[in-house]
Amino acid sequence: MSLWQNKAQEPPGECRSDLWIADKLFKALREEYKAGGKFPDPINKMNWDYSDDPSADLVAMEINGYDTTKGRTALYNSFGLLKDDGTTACGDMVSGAHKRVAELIGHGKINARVYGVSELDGMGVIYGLEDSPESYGLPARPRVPVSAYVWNALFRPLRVVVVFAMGFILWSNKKDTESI
Amino acid sequence: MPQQAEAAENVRVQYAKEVSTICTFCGVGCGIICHVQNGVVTNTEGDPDNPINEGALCSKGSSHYNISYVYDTKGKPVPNPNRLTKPLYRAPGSNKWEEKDWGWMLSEIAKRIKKTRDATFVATSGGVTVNRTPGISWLGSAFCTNEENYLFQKLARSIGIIDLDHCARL
Repeated sequence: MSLWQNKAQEPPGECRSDLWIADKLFKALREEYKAGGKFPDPINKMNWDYSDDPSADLVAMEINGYDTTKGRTALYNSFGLLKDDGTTACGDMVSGAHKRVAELIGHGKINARVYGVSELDGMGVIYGLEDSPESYGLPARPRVPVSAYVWNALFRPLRVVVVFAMGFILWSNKKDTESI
Repeated sequence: MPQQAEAAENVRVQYAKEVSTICTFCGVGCGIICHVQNGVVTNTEGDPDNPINEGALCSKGSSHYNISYVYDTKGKPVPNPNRLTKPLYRAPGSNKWEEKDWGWMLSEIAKRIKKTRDATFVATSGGVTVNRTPGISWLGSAFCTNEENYLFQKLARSIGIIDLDHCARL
């Protein structure tokens, strides 16, 4: 599901959206690096085309991924269509992690792997590991411990009892609170 | 003479247009309806059609209206005086905030980023190309949308920042 914020009123004074600030800050940075600097390529050659007053639609389309030679309407429906020759743009971190791991394997780190995508149906954090998870103290196949289920099931009736007991105590002390 | 019945008061939202938005206070994403009249928000309330909150809001979400407007002593809404309407700059070592325009602000931030990046940039580490900037860290915001945070992280990664985090990563 995707949630969308709509503009209700014009911002007061010189207030601007964060989209506008991010866009203008990057353009100011690019202006600085026109004269050169250390490794300016990722700044000067970055695919950054969100018009002068950037719209969230253009950014959302880029996160999804599209063909840069055909424009933003040429949206992708699969990561398999992404290429690394600059003709595709995509903001997805999963494909970025796989690309990075492929690079690490190319450098001789044969045990490199993406960790956290399929484990526990997604862990919220994607790791690009140089070596096997065990060497970082991470479990190779993480799972929720059985004891967590057991204790949860054991304590469920107790929780209900506690809630009712609280209610009963409050009710039995009703007179005291009324007199206050 | 018989006392005349007082006329019923009109509801504040009677002629207002409804605009749906999402609460930015936390990651739950509750729906909020803004009632807008003549381009001004007159009321906010929980969106009953939103499957996440079904019309309910927490105390922070239900005070959303007070981001823009607070009530004066007579109960009339006035623009919130605590809301910033101009970029403010505090020079290093200074104890005063100065009002500056956006152009100066952005180019000054860009200049300082370039200075720190060029001074601390690491191209290779142990024979492997890393291209990172350990001298700067970057913090995103929970008040931003996905698209805004995406642009911020794209900016941060383009200049090689690796200490990139978010205020709501609990």
